[in-house]
Amino acid sequence: MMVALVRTALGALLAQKRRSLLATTGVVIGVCALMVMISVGEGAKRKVLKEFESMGRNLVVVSAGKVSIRGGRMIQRETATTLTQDDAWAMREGVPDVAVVAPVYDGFAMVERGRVVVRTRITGTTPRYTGIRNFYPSLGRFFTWEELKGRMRVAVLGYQVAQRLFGSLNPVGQEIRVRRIPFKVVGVMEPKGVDASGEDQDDQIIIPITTATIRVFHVTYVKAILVEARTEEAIPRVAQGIALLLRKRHRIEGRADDFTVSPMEEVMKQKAQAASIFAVLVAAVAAISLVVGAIGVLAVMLLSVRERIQEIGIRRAVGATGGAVLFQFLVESLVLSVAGGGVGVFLGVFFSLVIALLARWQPVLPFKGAAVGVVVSMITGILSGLYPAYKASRIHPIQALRL
Amino acid sequence: MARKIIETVDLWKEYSLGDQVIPVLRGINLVVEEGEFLAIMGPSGAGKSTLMHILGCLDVPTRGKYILDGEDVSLMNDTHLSQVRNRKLGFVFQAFYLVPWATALENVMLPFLYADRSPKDARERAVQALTRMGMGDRLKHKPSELSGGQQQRVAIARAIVNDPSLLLADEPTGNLDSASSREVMEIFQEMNGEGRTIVLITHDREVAAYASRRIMLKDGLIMEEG
Repeated sequence: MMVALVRTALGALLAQKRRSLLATTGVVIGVCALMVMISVGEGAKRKVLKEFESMGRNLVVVSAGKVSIRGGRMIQRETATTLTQDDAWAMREGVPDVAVVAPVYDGFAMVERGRVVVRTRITGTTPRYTGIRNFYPSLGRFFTWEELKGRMRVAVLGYQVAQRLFGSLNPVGQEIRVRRIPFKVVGVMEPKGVDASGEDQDDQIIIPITTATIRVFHVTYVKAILVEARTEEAIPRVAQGIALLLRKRHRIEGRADDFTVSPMEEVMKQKAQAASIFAVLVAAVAAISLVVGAIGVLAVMLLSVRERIQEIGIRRAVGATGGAVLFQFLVESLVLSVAGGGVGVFLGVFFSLVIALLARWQPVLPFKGAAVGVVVSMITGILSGLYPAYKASRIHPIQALRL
Repeated sequence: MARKIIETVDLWKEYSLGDQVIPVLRGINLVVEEGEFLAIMGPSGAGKSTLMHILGCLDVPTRGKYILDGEDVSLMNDTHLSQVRNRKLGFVFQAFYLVPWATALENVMLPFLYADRSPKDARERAVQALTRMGMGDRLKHKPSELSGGQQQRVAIARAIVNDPSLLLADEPTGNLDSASSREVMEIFQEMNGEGRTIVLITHDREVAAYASRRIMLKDGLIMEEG
């Protein structure tokens, strides 16, 4: 009975191919958008979570100058040359709940190994950097405090820089030149990718900060100080303490700060929010197309009932009960929407994977989305088929056969 | 005495138009026995179609009793009437009434879709019925690919596929040329010869001549038998 009814429904729908196609377009788009929404939401959440974990816990970034945060990215608005290594040490001593500090000076430079030349970011910092950023060498070692104090020319290569300079060779113990200054490679960092700051952590060379400021860049200031708070709860207090301390040290009275304190939690929250705003947008598209889809199926089914009054009369004459007619049109509407839903799921998987690829997050196979898509299209089919099917079942056989 | 397939007792059908009540059937007493071939004749407006609808369980009488093959159907609800139509009746209409997008075979199999228990050999029976009507080589044809006479033969195959107690034909030749009309009426006569009970509604004397018994309906009453 059921199989026969589904076959009948398919026959009726295939008899009106173009119309059936049009009717399902809304459902196709709706289910597709729904799946994209679910997988984008999931993917973005995972990405933010991963970045958050890899960034280092309870991190507060103190930047020189003005930095604004847009959509989870830190953007330098103004620079300043007033932030120093001494500020870092003062924070560690003077602000309660500061666990670790690491001043950073970075700048771009040409780096040579023999005839191979690459341009990359040179990051000067201290051995504390690894702990704060949760970022460690996978080959060789990081530089030591002794090397830092001695302004030694030692370098730890980012994963990608190591590959570009040395290919498959082991760089540890080899020599490179940064701005013509010879350095000894002591280690290679683990691959990390683009982190929350928006910078590719694999495309840099890390050297002692003293070496960076004095020997390479010839500056007396730093660009940022990474601060790790003791606990998550302490982050706001630490941020406030740092601001007070720096204002005093930089003698800021009645003018704008020449530094910016950015608790990274906030940055990540913004980022998560940006991702969820996108998901809300897609959700709106999904909802609208599903409504349009439902109306499309409703309209086509109503039209179909009207055109097939005679067929309904024939069916009633050979023994179809009103219930059987209701059921038949409901099945038809269901088949129509589920077919649309199936195509939508297929397209949804495709677009989810494309978006994952473009956004460079791990592709999440949207099983949850697929299941939701199928269920939603079934509900759409039943809801929009209910009224036309009811109308069809109320048609009296005599009236239907008088035409 | 032969089995009574149709027995009506003082059958009335009235329609209300505003506050006016228009009687269409005014006390029909009719008995059709098994194996009869009855033609109901009469001018248009005499109530032929209304009587046919009630006899075909497509409508219910306002008053009176209708016993179809031993079952009192005059007080049945819509669902039960549908089941009775499915089990006991076969219809042949003037306009053939085939499902346009379905094949001849699918059309003939239609009654089985609504049977309580579809026979295992439903397809085989449908093929048999079509073969009997000389349509065995047109199973996959759509109605639009068939001539009028062929379409009516498919419709007759559909009407007899569930082996009904009563075959009802409403102007079955009304849309056919004279050659096809003769063919179709010969089929009816042949089936009657095999013992099938047939009630034919027509205004055409030539067509009615194929029946074994004729009645005349006028102003909602049976006027003459002959």
